[in-house]
Parts: sequence; structure tokens; C-alpha cells
Amino acid sequence: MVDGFALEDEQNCSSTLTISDDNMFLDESGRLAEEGILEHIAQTAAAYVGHLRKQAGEEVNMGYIGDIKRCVVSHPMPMAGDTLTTRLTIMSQVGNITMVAAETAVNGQTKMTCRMKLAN
Amino acid sequence: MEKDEMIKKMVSILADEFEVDAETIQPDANIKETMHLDSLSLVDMVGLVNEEFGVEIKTPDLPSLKTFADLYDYVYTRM
Repeated sequence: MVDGFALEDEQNCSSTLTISDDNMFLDESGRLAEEGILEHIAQTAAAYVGHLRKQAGEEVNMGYIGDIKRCVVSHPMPMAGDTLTTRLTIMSQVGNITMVAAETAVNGQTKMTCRMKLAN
Repeated sequence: MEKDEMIKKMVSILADEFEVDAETIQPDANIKETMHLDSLSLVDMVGLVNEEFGVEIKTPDLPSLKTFADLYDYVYTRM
């Protein structure tokens, strides 16, 4: 659920996803369900943490979503063919748990903001 | 920022974030017990302190922060 990934610095990165018409998170009306954006954010965070771990010579484990907080969604949801752009910031890291703040937009319009904890 | 000002702000943001009565946040009270913290919500507290006071609590230091007084001293000396 991530096409492009760009590392900005030790705490910030961005990613993109162009929604294909066979994306498993599309609903009957051809719109991406909220959990599709959440999965995109989670995979962006996982790619980011994995990159940092690899750079530090550490093992890269399978990540899983610990919790999601302050999730705000703005309808209408995006459709197949739209491109999600996500900016992600690491808020804190404790042991193997990383908390990120994420904002996902389509054509400059924010569709979701949330805080997510990733454990891996 | 003076220490008592920092403490007042800390009590307010912690009580709000973890939905506990500010009265329960006393200097000698145990942090985890008072705010019912598990490993995930501990990350929230670290993130909050970083965001509000610009102080990063290092993972190895966490076990030593048992009471709120410990937390206040840790943050104030690093602001």
C-alpha cells in the first residue's frame, strides 16, 4: 500500500500511493475505505522504522499496529486513480514501540490525520 | 519557565491526556499506577513530554522515573 517513499530527516518522511482499481480496500462505490488509508499509513511507518533499524544495523522485524488515536477523517473518501500523499513524523520511541503522527491528503486536501503506534 | 510553572502545566496535560483527576497527580504518587499506563500509553507520555517541553525521555531512563517528582526533576533539568 505504498508506491513511493521519501526520507526527509531522522524524524520526518513522506510516501505516496496511487489507488489501483483492484485495491482490496475499495468499497462497492469504488471509494477507499478508511482502513485503507490507515493501512497505507501503517506501511509507511513500517517502511520508515525498518529503514532506520537497517541503517543502525539492527534486525528488521514484522511490524504491527499497537493503537490508533485522534483519528480524524474528512469525506468524501478517495477513489481508484487518486493519489494519497502522506507526511509522517516520529513523535516518540520507547523500546520497540514507535509513535507517529500522520497526515494523508489527496490533491492537497487532508483526508485523514491520526496518531499511530507501531510495535516491531 | 519556572519549575512550579512546568509542574502545573505537566499536571494539566497529563490529567487531560490520560483522563485522570489532576488531584491524583501528587509528587510522590507512582506514575504508572496513577495514570494506569501500559507499554503503549507509556509511549504517549514520552511523546507528550517531548512535544510540550522539548525533552526526550530516553528509553533506558524510563525505569528510574517511578514518581511524578522523578519525572518533574528529569524534565526540568533537561529543559
